[in-house]
Amino acid sequence: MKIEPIGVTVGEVAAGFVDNQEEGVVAYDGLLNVRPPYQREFVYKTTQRDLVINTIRNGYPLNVMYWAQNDDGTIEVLDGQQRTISFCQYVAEHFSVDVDGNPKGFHNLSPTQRQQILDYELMVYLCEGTEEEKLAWFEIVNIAGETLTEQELRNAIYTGPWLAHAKRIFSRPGGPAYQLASKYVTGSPIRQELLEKAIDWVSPGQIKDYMQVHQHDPDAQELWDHFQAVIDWVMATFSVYRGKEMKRVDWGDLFRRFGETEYDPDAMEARVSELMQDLDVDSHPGIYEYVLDGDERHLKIRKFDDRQRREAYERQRGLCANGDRCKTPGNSDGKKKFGIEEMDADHIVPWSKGGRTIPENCQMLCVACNRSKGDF
Amino acid sequence: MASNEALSARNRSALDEWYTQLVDIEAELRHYRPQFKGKTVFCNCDDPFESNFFKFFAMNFNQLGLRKLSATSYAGSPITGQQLSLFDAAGLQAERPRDVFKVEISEVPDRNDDGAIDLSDVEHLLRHDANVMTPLKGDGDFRSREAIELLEEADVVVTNPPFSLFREFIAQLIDHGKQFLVLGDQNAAKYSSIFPLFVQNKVWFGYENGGTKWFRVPDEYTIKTKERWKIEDGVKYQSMGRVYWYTNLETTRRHQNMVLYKRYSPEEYPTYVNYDGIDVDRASDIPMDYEGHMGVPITFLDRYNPEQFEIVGISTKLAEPMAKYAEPDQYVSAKGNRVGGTGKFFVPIAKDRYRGVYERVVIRRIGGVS
Repeated sequence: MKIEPIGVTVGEVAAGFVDNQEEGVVAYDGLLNVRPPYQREFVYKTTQRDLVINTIRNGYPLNVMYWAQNDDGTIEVLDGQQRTISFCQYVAEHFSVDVDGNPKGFHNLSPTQRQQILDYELMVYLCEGTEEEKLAWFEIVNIAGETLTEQELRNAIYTGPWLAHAKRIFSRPGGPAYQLASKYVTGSPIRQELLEKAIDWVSPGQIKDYMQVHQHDPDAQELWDHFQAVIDWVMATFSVYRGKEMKRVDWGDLFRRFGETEYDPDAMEARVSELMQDLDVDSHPGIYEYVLDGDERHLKIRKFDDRQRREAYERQRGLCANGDRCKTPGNSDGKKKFGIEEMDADHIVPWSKGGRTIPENCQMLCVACNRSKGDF
Repeated sequence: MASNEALSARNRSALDEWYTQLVDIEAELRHYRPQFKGKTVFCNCDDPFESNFFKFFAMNFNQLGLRKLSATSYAGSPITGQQLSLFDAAGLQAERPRDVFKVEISEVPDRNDDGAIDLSDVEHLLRHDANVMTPLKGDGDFRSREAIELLEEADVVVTNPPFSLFREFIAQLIDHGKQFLVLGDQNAAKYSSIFPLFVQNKVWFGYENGGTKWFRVPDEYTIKTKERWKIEDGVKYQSMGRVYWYTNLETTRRHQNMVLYKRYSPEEYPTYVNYDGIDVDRASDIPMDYEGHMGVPITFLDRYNPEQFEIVGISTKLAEPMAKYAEPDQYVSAKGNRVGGTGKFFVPIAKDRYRGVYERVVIRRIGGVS
């Protein structure tokens, strides 16, 4: 991979500047994607924007900016977006700044003053390489400046119509994806977390690969359809809404495993409600997974505490509760005395058969016996 | 036609002196720059020396390629003449100086020879060119004969008209077939004389309508809410939410589809009792799979794309009298008070109980869903 400083001036970058709002911002004769479509909005305050112009007018240095070369010949601004937009907008007459008490747009400056701005040399590093290499490099560069999320970094690499469409749906605060799903998932649209989740669900888990494969697709309809299907399925399957618990469930994973099945929402709700009331169930979000796949581990069934363990241990006088059926080699008579740390507390009647986490249902088994107990 | 006396009696106590800031003007105007080439721009309702509208077009005159810029001042503006002493203006010296005048600029040459053309050249022009600034006989009101003459000559009107006269102001622009980009309260879109213009696609909203805009106001203006006023460098500002740009200049915004994602269900979208349509609480919740009439809040207009939706009308006109469908005590308010049963849509909330909803724009989808 190559990373090298290139000599460009404000005038060269500002040439061909077009601000298409949410459709993106280009400059440098259309070669430079200053802001890809639906990237974070230009959030510079008026004062910051004016400061950039004053910095340039005074000939002071602006900080280093980073650009990345795309395969198709276009260039992506990775760092320096807001500064670039500021001076491009100024040269394009989008605003005026105060000069000696008078508001002056670019054309209100004298030819010398204008030329000084256009000739101002920017410090730009251009990086060329594979998308993987660029991503790795950006992750390092990213530590210095305004921190980008992982998904924001990926968005800087895998640009194209697919991403533009996806961002229209997933990256707008109050946008369609947020409106549809914010009751069921967490994540900020503007920091690209919602988009990340959607791709994570559809891929599944292979975000980078998925973006690479679909980068040049004309739109992201597949992604959006899948996302909607997940949420529709959740709503149809679990009719009663429980925000705190539901937002912590990985719905994409459950949809992938059980999305084909139709469930009776009333029966599901009855199960969920019963489990929510069960004091031995420690993980409430896990209830949704459990009612679908039956794996008791999701529920984090309450364990016996140290007091209950000690009580059972003393009661058994250190012997394994399995007596002469004990699995520990050499203990066929069940007489071996174990240390408390060599034993596990066990539900005599398993939780799944109605056993509670109460002293009367607690027994101590040696490790070998507990491991071989097959009620999971 | 109104007499001079009537025009002079115009109620200035309506607190209509709101001076738009240059940043807000620049932010909106940048979207339309190419549309001003070769045009005559008229900034009425402005004091040319105080108005940032005039300032904007004066300093951008050559850059935009304007043919002509005209502006009028009106009688009784409390901050007239603070920037440039009127006695210095060449065009006013011939007569007794007065504070009502018009400015007409057809070129801004580099008069002070500093190689740049900016506001100081405009000032130079005002001071030295007797043809640029002329006193008005009337009071400079936008309805006066002198102002109308300037209007007829103009292609585009850009200003912040007195909100209390917004109806008349827009009506005048439409009657004269002018292009315009003006500020107004969002609620004005519901006026019975303004709303039909939206329906006929003769008016739409501009770009920068979010957030709060700050306006310079005369010192004596007061407002109780602390957050809504500030004083910076001795200048008093007051904020106003919901101030929108109204225009008939082309925008790209009005050609963008809303992305629809909701699915219709009778529970979420109740059907009106006194109109054949469903109620949609928020514009973004418009269901993607409903073909019939839908009532949406007025905020819909901000995202209205005439290729995606057709505006059928407004609830105040379309609602059938509730008395035809229920007994008056069946649609009382939550507190039990009697409510009017006309001009408003009602949805059922229980057996023989109905609730009125706020004003709704009735629409029908004719285009795509994203």
